[in-house]
Formats: sequence, structure tokens, C-alpha cells
Amino acid sequence: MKQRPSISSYTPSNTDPEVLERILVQREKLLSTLVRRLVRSMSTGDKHHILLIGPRGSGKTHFLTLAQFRLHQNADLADSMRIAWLGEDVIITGMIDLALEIANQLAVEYPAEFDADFRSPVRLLPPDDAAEAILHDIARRLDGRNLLIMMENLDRAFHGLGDTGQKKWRAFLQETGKVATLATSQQLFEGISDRNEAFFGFFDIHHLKPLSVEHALQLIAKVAHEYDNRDLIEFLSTNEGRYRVRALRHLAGGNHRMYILLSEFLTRESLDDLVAAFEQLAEELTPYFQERVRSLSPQQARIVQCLCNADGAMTVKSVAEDTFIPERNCSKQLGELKRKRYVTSQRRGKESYYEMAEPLMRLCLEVKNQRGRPLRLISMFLRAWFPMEALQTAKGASIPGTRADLYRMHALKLDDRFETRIRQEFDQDIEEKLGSKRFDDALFLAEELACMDHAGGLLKEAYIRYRAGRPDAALSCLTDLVEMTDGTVAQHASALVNRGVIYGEQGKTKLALADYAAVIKMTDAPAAQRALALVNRGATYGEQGKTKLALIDSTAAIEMTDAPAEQRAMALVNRGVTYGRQEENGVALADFTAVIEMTDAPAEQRAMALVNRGVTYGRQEENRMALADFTAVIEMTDAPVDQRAKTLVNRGITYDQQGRIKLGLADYTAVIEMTDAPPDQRAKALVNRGVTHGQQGKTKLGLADYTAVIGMTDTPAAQRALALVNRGATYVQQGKTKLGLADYTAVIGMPDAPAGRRAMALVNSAATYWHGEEFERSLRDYSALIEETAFPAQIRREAMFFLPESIIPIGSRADAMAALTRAFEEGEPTAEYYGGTPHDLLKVVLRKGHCDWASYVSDLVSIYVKHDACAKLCNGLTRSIEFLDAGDYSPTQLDAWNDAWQEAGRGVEELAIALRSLSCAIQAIKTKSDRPLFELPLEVRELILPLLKKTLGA
Amino acid sequence: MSSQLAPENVVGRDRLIAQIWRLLNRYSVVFTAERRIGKTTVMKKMQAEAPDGIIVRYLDLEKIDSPQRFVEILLGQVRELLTKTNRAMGGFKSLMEAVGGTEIGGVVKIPQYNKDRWQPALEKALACVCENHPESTLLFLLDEMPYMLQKIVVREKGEDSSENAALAILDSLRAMRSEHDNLRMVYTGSIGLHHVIDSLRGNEYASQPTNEMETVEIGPLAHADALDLARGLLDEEKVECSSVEDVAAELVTLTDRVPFYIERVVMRLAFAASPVTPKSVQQQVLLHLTDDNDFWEMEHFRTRVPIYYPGNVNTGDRNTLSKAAVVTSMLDVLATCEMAQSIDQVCAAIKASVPVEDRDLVIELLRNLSQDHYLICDDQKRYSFRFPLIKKWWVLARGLSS
Repeated sequence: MKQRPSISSYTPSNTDPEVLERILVQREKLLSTLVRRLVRSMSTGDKHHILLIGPRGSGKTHFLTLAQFRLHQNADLADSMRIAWLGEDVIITGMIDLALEIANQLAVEYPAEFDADFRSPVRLLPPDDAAEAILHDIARRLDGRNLLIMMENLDRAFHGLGDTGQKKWRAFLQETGKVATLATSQQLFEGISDRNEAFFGFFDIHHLKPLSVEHALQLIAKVAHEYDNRDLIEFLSTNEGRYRVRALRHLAGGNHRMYILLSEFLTRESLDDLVAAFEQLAEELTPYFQERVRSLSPQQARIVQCLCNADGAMTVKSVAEDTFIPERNCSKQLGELKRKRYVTSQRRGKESYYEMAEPLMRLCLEVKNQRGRPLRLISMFLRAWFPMEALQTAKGASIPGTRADLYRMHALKLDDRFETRIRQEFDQDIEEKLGSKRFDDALFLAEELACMDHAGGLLKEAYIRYRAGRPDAALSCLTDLVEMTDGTVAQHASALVNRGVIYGEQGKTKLALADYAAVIKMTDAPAAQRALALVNRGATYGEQGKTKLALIDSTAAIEMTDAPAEQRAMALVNRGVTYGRQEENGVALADFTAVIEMTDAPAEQRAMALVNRGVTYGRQEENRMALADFTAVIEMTDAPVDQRAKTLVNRGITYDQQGRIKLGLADYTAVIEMTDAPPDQRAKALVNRGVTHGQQGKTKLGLADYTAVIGMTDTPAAQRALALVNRGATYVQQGKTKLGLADYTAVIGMPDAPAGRRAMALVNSAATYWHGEEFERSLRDYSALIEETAFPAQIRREAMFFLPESIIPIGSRADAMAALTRAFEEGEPTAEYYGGTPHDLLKVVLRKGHCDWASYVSDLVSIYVKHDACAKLCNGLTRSIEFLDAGDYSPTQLDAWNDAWQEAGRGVEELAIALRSLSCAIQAIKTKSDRPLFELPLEVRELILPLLKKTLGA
Repeated sequence: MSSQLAPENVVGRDRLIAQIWRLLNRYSVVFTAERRIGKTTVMKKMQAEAPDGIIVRYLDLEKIDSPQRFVEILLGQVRELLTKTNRAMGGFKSLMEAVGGTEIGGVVKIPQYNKDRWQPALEKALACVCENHPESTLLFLLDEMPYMLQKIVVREKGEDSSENAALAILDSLRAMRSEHDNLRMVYTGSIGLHHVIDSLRGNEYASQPTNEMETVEIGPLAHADALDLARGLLDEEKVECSSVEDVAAELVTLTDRVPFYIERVVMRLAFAASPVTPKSVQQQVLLHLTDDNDFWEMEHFRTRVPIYYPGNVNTGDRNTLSKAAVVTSMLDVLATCEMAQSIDQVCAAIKASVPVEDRDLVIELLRNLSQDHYLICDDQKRYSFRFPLIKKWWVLARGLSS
């Protein structure tokens, strides 16, 4: 190891600046930008006043030292810059101290320019006037040069200056225009953050951020490099090294100084070594922390002592109870301690939880009070440092009864709070990386975790791979874990449940059920996992239609008294949904209501129960109740955003159904304007709003909404396809057929669009071509639709009835009739579509030469009669009268059409009225009079009259 | 300001300053401007780049709350303005003797006087310096003048004094201006001088202490100048932009061409993730507008309302309502309207929140709000917020949805 350079943890200004440059992390950009501003301040008339805010040990003096170093390195500033650095021990009680200190610093640094005897000329003046005179003299002696004042603990200096001093100081800075400032403070303070103070808005303030794990690693590596500590450098590149730095973070609290002090422990493998070194550090740090506690008021010191003794964070109320300090006073003192950065707080609901900002501060009290017993903080640290197995098997602890062994035993008795916090941090980091799709970085973290907890690491890896869209790789990790002999029961159960979920999603239901069953049988598995397995197995049975089994599993989970509320709530919701499917709405409603009334159920489950209850009420046409439930979810502040968005869409639909268009539109708009709504719900809301706009004739607005969905980069394919189909239909309605067809074509070509949407696009496209008399294309589209078995059966069967309409104009009669026969044979007689749209069929038959009509009509009648669909044909025949009216047919043609029908329909009772109507209508067309219609009953006549618009001008 | 700008680096004020110099040939001047516009910067630049034959002294009066202190700092300036010869000849000494003052190390002190003593001292000091520079024009730039007057009034009230020193100062300064052809002054400050003078008039003051002065409005930068400034700052701070032109254009639009805001946003952009885009500018502006620390002091636009508009209005039902509440309601209405609003529209809209039927009152308040730079009036006599940035802040701060 080369000779150790001196890196002072407490006085960086005594460290060689070159070394400080080399170990700088995280703040390169900040430093270079601020130094650039100071260079400008020292070389032009512009002046910057910069204030750095950061707690003790956060690297403020390091920063100042480097800034000064870089400024001194700049040869261009040699003539124009003078620096007066007022260190952290300078005591300022008024303007005179400040002036004297600046004059003193300048006289020491620049004796040729600044008189050392600056006191004499002002000796007789009152202090404030003397200060003013000294500062004027400094300004005069600066001549054309600029002065940089560097001040540490500006808050203390301002406190000493008082209101008048601050105003005078500000006036001096403003009036001379030669002075720039680089100052530090541990916190924001009244003198700069109160708008009535002279310096409000004066400084360019920068809050120094705590070190992240990555930056801490860089810092330690750089320090190790300075010390030529190769073991440490190498160790830091291992997963174990990274894990230990992460553990240190919970002791160092993101503080530079503590990281440097603690970095020495990283490579200690033996428990003996570690314990001895840690106790020594505790001994060394104790005076430092004790001094800090002594500087507090007695009440604040009591509060700090109380928080040091606490296991975790405490509320104001509990601190007040423990310290017997009145609650209001206690709250004020905690606020003050927070401002001084002794404590941190986190708000949960209405309460704030306070804890020590620097965990190591606990040491100062422990060392004093433990009298030889193991220090709790060190034991906690050991729990996080060594794998549990190593601690249990006494790895590294030499002889029983030694100090190290005492710590080991103590560590084993502690709970896992410290480890849990590290794990939570892993979870957060992994989620953050997954959120930005940095899967490799997330896997890196899983590996790091695996070095301490192999099974835990595998579980995380599986989760990451699953989230990365690689379920097979996730399955492989989970299978490894299931087959491993180590790992806890909870980890094995978790692996099985998760594997079951993935199997389920892959359609491997049997395997999924087997995994769930395995967990359910594991009597020593945590109740949460067993309940989850029951819930999932129940849901799987439900999907398989095995309602009884589903109900049994859900009920079993509900009745597990030791299961967490979340799982029981899930089971209740699932059971409710199963009952709902069986139309047992009463029991379903009871289950949903039970979840809604569970005070300890997660908001997500309660929201889900409310939505499902709302839907159930909707099914029962109790729209008022349904709306109340939807509204309750929307107003739940803790409901997940996606639930709220989904419910707003549901409520919008319910309003639409009630004809309350404005309210429906408002709900859709609310979702559209929710910045954090999931893309699928926003898209759904846009599509629904587009439809409503369209129905109200506001075509432009409708098109805008569809276009917005299509343009969204994160729109799910299903919604994009729907928006395209709807926009296409709107374009077609507007007569912009080309645009419409382009949209349909886009959907047809979307590989990821749901089959149903692609089928819809094909139907619309075919219909549009048919109406545009491009029969070959419509035939192509219908055929494609019918032949693709992946498309929904109903749409395909319906399309079969449309197919003959495209064949007749361009194909043979035999083909057309064969297609129609197939449609009848494959269609469902009870379905709405059964029988197709005969008036469109007749429209294309009429396009044929009138000589062919009789044979077509004869075929059609016999097919419709055979399949018992005369009512539809009857309807089509009647509607075909409008084609005859509009079509300029000659009397001969009209007679031919009539004859064909009268002949083919003879004896078919169901066609009698239609045939009579046809006959009369043809007479009316021929005579251009409505008289022949009077032979028809009034109600039939009223039906026929509107079809003869051209003839009768009706 | 964290950044004190060197006069030579001030962008876009040359034409304005040339116009002011032309006016100062004959008149003294009152600057009117919204706060943060850069009045002080303009004055500092004038001081640094004064034409030959004009001696400029800048006095920051923000912290002054007594006539004595005002006279002391004026004497300090006068001391520097008296030629060395004059000083050697005892000119300044005799002035100090005449006013009863002392001077050590360049700092001038006078005893606690009543008006009968400090007023002659003030006039004597100005007369002395004018007579000492017969060939030059002496220009005193009195920054934050209205603020000082207001503080003097407040202090007098606290001391139960009836001296009316603020009036006396204004009278003396006006008298000296008319007595000495080579004396000019510029009054400026973030509080509207008309408010202070109105409140003094309330104390039965009938004279017009500034009616011989010309008024100059200092507005935001011209668009091209604002763009130049934005580009220059982006370059100086080495901000890596997706497109400098786009970022500069967004900066200029969102900051209403006010140099202070442009500079503040750029200083923060220097630390933003690269490359900086127009969206980064939007985010920074929004961050500043919603920052609880409010380092842009936007809150001032709200807190000064009751100060500028004191007193009550009669709502006709024997009830009264504070004028400030009416003004706030008017600003709420205009902040949430996209288009400029006519007097009738404002009258109708405020009735939803305040029971005001007095149309004349609304007209008067709209006029005052224009004078105070909140509003601007178009040629159709329709009013809207003068600065979209302030409008945006008003909407955010008041929780109004536009």
C-alpha cells in the first residue's frame, strides 16, 4: 500500500485540493457551473451571490475548497480577484466583526494591498460606523479588483449581524458592486427565506443532495484509490461489496463524511475484526455526537435522546408522552430539530413520523449507557452485513464467549427491521429501473441481493424477467428456487404461487393448479401465501367454469382467520364475481359489501368491490345505486388511479345509457385530463367521448377524439383499432370514403389488434366497397373474414349472409345460392343476423337483366322458405319497392319483377301480404297514382307510401 | 439579486436610456414600472455611462426610514462631489458646521434634528454641490423613493409625530430643483409614487410635488432584445439546448420579456437534464411559480393589494366591503378570462362574488389597476392582465381554474 494521503473527514480545507479534486463525486456539474459564474464575477462587473445548503458532513467545505482552488488556478484572475474566506469558526456578533474579519483575512493574504492596521483610523467610532468605514476602506483599496467573500455557516453570521447589520451588509454589496459571495449553511433560515428580510431572493440557492448508493460507491472507490487499497477497490466491484455499501447508507444517511469513515469496514470479513473496528469508531465518534447534542436546548436534547432510544420513527404524540413535554411544545421543538437537520420526518395520513437523521447519533447515547453490553446499532448492522446463515453458523466468530460472539448472539435476537429497510430500498430501486425499462440494471440489483440471500435474489430476478416480458425465463428462475434446498418456506411458497400465476397466463392450467395446491398443503407456509394460493386457485376454477370448486376455495380463504385482509378481500371480491356470474346477485352484493365495509382492506380491493357492486346494481337496473358506488370510488382519494379512471369511464357509460349526455361527457373528459390515468382508460374515454360527440352530430369533435387516440404513442392496440374503426365509419358517413377505407385497412393490417376489431374493420371495409359497387373488393374482404377462423364466430356467420350480395353482381347464380345456403346452414336460427339483409340481396338481383330475375327469385324464395326465414324475405321484398320506385324501370321490367315474385311465391302463406303490396306498388308506379294502393289495408298502405317518394312525391 | 449585472452587460436598454437623457436635458423624471422590470439596472447603467457634463449619483433609499438618515447619505454623496480643492478650502467643513454634522472615515453623521434643522441642512447640501459644479448637471437617482417616504410616514405614526417629514422632503427637493437649473432627479421605486402622494394628500396636503417631472414607463424588453438576452445567457451558462432558437423563444414568451425572469430561468436550466427543450423551460417557469419559497416574490402582487387599495366601499345595504376585496375579485375575474373584458363585463362578473353595484367605483379601480401595472387597457377600453406570467401566477396562487 502506498503512503496514505491525508484526507481529513472533518476539515477538508486542510486536505490537498488535488486530492479533493480526485475524490469529488456527484457534484462535478454543480461545481463547474458555479465556478464559471464566480470567474465571471471576478473578471467582469457581474456579481453572483451563491449559497449552498446541506447538513453537517455533506461536503460543503470540500466544495468551497475546490471552488477556491479552481479560482486560484485560473491565471487570468490573478490581478482581478481577491478572496476572503471566513471559516466556520469565525464568530460574528455584529457588523463590526464581519468587517474586521474580512479586513483581517485580506491583510493576511494580500499584505501589499491591505493595511494590517485597519483599526487605528476608526478607533473612536461607534462599532457600526467603524464597520462602515472599514468596509469603505476595503472597497477603496480593492481599486479595480473584485472581492469574493467565502462564508461558512452563513445562518450563524446572519443571526449575529441582526436586522440592521444585514441591511447594511446588503447595501454595501449592492452599492460597491465589487463583491461576490460563496456561502454555506446547514439549513434555510429566516434571513433569506422571509420575504421581509433584506436578503430574501438575494442568493442563488443550491441544496446539496445526499449521496445515492451509486455515488457512495464512486466516492469510496476514489478514496480507496487514493489509499491504493486494492482489496477495497476490487471488493467494490463485487455484488457483496455493493450490497455492503447499500447497508452503510442506512448508517451514513447519505452523508459524505460518514461514508469515508465507514468505508474502512467494507473489506473486513472476520466478525472479530469488524466488531473491534466498529467499537473503536463508536468510541471516536461519541465526543463528536455528544458535542452536537450538548449544543441543543435541554428540551431538544431530551427529544433527541428519546428518538435515539426508539426502535423506529415516532409520532409527535408518542415523543411527547415519553418525554413529558407538552405536545404543542414538543411539536415546535421537533420542527426546530428538523430545521437543524437532527431529525427527519415523513407524513403518513394525518400524522408525521420523526426519526434521527443520522442513525450513528444513537451511538453517542449507547456508548455512554450500555456499560459493556453490545451496542444495539452495531448488532443491527451485523444483521445486515452478514447472511443469516453465516451469523447462525458463527462464521468468523472465533471463540464462544468473546466480544464478537456476544455481538453475534445479540444480532441473532434482533428483529429484521434493518434488513427490511435495505430490502425495501432494493424494491424501490428495482421498481424505478423497471419503470424506465432498464431491465439489465434491475437484474444487476437482483444479483446484488442474491449475494446475501440467494433465494430472495432469484425471486426478484423472476419478477424482473416477468416484467421484461420474458415469462419463460421467469419460470426458469422460479423452478430453480422451487427445486432448491435452501431458502425459507415463505420464499418457496412465493415461488410456487408466482409460478402458478405464470402457468395460468400461459394456459397451463393443470400446472398452475398443481403449484397452488402445493402451497395450500404447506402447513408451515405463511398464511398470506396460502391464502393467495387459495384465491388464485379459486379464480382459476372460476375461469374453467368449475363454479363449485371456485366457491369452495374463495370461501376457504375468506375463513382463514390468520390471512391478511388483502387476501380475504380478494377472495370476497372473487366470490362475489362468481356469484354474480350465476346471477345470484343477492349473495354477490353481500360479498362486495363486506369488502367495502372492511376497514383494513387495501383501497384497491375496496375500490374493486365498489366497482363490481356498481356493475351488479347496474345489471339489476338500479342505476341510482350503481352511480352511487361508482361515485364513491371516484371520490376515494386512496383508490389506485387506474381504478378511478376505470370507474369514471363506467360511470360515463351509465350516464350515457340514462341519456345524461353532459354528465357522461364530463366523466370521459375527467379521465382524458387525468395526467396519470393509464393509457388504456384515457383511450377508452376518448373513444367513448368520440362516439357521444358523433351521436350528437358533433362530427368534428368526434373525429378529433378518435385522432387523439390514434396519435397517442402508448395507446393499447385494442383502443387504437377501435378508434380507427370509428373514425373510418365517421369518414364514410361524411362521404370521405377513401379516408374511411384507409383507416379500416390500417386496422386489418395491425398484427396486435384484437381479432374482433380486425373483423369489424373487414366488415366495414367490405360494406363500404359494396356500397361503392366495388364488388370484387367487398367479396375479397368478406371471404377473408369468413375464412379466418381466429375471428369471432358470430361476425363470421353474419358475414356469410353478406357474401352472396357481393357474388351476385359478378359471379354465377349457383355460387351465390350456394353461399346463401351455407350461411343458413352455419348460422344460428335464433340470432338476429339469421337471414341476412334480403333487401340488399334484391337490390343486386335487380341489377341483373330482367330475364334472369325469375330464376333468382325462385331460388331465393325456395331457400328462405326452406330455412323458415320468410318473415325476413317478406320485409326485404317490401323494402325493395323503393328500388323499383327510384330505378326508372320500364313497365315491362316492372311486370317481369312482379311476375317473378307472384310465380315463385304462390302458395307461400307468409309472403302473401308482401306479394300483394308489391303488385299494388308496381301498379302505382306504372299509373303514377296512389289509387292502386287503396286495395291494401290502411296499415300496409302507410308502410308502402313512403317507399314511393319519387312516384308520388310523398 | 444573486446576479448583479455589470452596466456594460445590460441588454436592450440603450434606446430607452437615450430617450431618458434627452428628457433630462430639461426635466426631472419619475420612472414607473412593474417590479422586477429592471429599473435599478437602468439607473446603474445610466450612472456608469453618463454623458459628459452630467454627474450622476445613485442613492438606494430602501433602508432609510428617517429624514436624518436621508440627509446623512446625501451629505456623504455631497462630500464626494465637492472638489478636492473645495474640500481643502474647508467648503465641506463649513457645510458640516452649518448643518451640525461630523465626518470620520468618510462616514457622515448628523444629530437627531427636528424639521427646522434637517430641512435647511438638506437644502444647503444640495445648494452647495450645485454651486460647486456650475458647469455640470447634477443628477441624483433616488431609488425606492416612495418606499422611503412610506417608511418615514409609518415611523412618524409610531412616534406620534406630526412633522410630516415625507412631505417636507418632497417639498424641499422640488424647491431645490426649481432653484437650481443644473439639478435633476429621478424618482423610482416598486411602490407606485401616486399611492404615496395620494395617502399624503389624505393628510390635507394640497401641493403637487412631482407635477413638473416627466414620467417614463420602463417596460419589458423589446422582443428581439429579449431573444438576444436569452441566447446570450444560454451560451454563457453553457446550457445544452435541443434548439437554442426554440428554447430562447419559449423563454421569452413565458417570461413576458422581463430580463429578471429570463435570467433566473436560465440559471436553473444550467442544472437541468440535457438537452434542454422548450418543455424544460415550461417546467422551470411552473416550478418557480409554484415554489413555496416564492423567490420570485410573486406573492407581493397579492399582499400589496390591501396596501394599495385601503379603505372600504359601501355596498348599499348599510354594509361595507373592503376595497381590496373588490380589487381581488376583479383580478380573479380577469385572470380566468381568456379575452380582454369590457367595463360592463367586469361589473357583471364580479357580482358573483362581491355585492358591488357602483359602476363608477369599478371604472376607478380598473384605472388604478392599470396605473399599478396589473392591467392593460386596449383601444376598446377592455381590460386584461398586463403580464401573462402574473396572470398565470394569480390563477395558480388563488386556486382558480381558468
